[in-house]
Amino acid sequence: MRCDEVRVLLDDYADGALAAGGAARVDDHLAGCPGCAAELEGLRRLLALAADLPREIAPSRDLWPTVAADIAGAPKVVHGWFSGSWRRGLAAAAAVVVAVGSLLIAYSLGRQHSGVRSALAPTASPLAVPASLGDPTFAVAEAELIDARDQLLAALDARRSSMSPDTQQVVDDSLQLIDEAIARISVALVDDPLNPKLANRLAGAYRTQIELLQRATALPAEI
Amino acid sequence: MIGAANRGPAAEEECHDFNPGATPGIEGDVDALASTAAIPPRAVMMVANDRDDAVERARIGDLEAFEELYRASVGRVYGLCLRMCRDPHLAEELTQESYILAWRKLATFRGDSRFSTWLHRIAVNVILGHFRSAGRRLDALSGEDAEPVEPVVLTVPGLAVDLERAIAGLPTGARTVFVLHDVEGYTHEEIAQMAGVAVGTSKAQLSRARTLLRKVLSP
Repeated sequence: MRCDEVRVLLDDYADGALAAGGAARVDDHLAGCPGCAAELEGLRRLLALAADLPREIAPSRDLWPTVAADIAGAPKVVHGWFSGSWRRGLAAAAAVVVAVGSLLIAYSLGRQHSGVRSALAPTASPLAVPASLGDPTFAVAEAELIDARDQLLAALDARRSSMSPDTQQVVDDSLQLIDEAIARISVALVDDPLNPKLANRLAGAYRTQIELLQRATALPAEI
Repeated sequence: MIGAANRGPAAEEECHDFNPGATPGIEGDVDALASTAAIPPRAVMMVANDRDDAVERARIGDLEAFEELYRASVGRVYGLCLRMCRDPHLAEELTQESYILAWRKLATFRGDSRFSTWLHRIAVNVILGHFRSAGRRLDALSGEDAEPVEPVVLTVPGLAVDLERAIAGLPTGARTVFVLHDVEGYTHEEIAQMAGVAVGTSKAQLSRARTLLRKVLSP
């Protein structure tokens, strides 16, 4: 056999995958060819190294909570905003929030006079988005967001008697959806407290909720 | 015979104790434990029985039992995911997806193979499914990766570090086949079946991987 013919068989030869006849011919060639013998030796060194590689590597964090949460059907605890299943879940939730918010606006516009439009217009965000949960101002900012939200919730409760049951239901459903998104982001932040995207998402969810409340409390009386 | 390729398709049940903090494989470590003089054979059998029991309990919906199986095997699954996809965050996600899928399919596990073998195969399929969804077919990966990832540096002393780095630098197709064949011990036929490619494709990718690795590792 020529060297080029042997070289293409060396992988199978080293793997013990050559038939007896073929292996014998390669043996004959190797016995008289130092170059091909060195090739085989190099290949075997590589395979020995590969065989000795560790086959267990411990992940840097506990992955079980996310697995358990998924299995149990609970909100997922995942590492980072870019984790696919979390991203897909939250994107779906966000889409629902937007859709329900739009329904609320459309529903209200359909029932109210044209003057309602200004009341439903987006309002300015009360607070700047914090850069990160690791930022010491984040806790203060979050507290202010929660305070603003609670004040608006109180105002909404005070106005419920002037709202139709249908409108109240739409508002409450929207608030609940945003609450669920806030809860999920908060859980994810516990696992990844320095993730600025999660922090921004949390602040964004609060702002969405506040804007919804501002619009709802500004609606003209229906009853 | 030299190399993992000669260890056969069930070779993943052997376990090299890489990380002292890592949990051992499931049944795979029983043989290794048995060879340890400090541990009496009866204790080894109890470990094996406990794991069999955990599989049975998990099959009927016992989440705590499944967590036992997870704790005992996550190092093997994560190690496979990390070595094949190179990205630690993606490896974590694929590891989680593997266990979630295993839980959902657990009722179909008949015990024809060891649980660790069955779980490992699920993880391989999850990883290959990820590659497929990302448009990375093994038979279309003769060139460089479309999305290069910073190679992962593992804390293994000596030449193994260089090999880990070299493996991480391989194109996806060559890396996948090398890890499955030469590290994990799957045959070309098994790889071809799991990846949906021809045996010849698997062989060609392995040859390419070995050539590239030897070139990188040669002094």
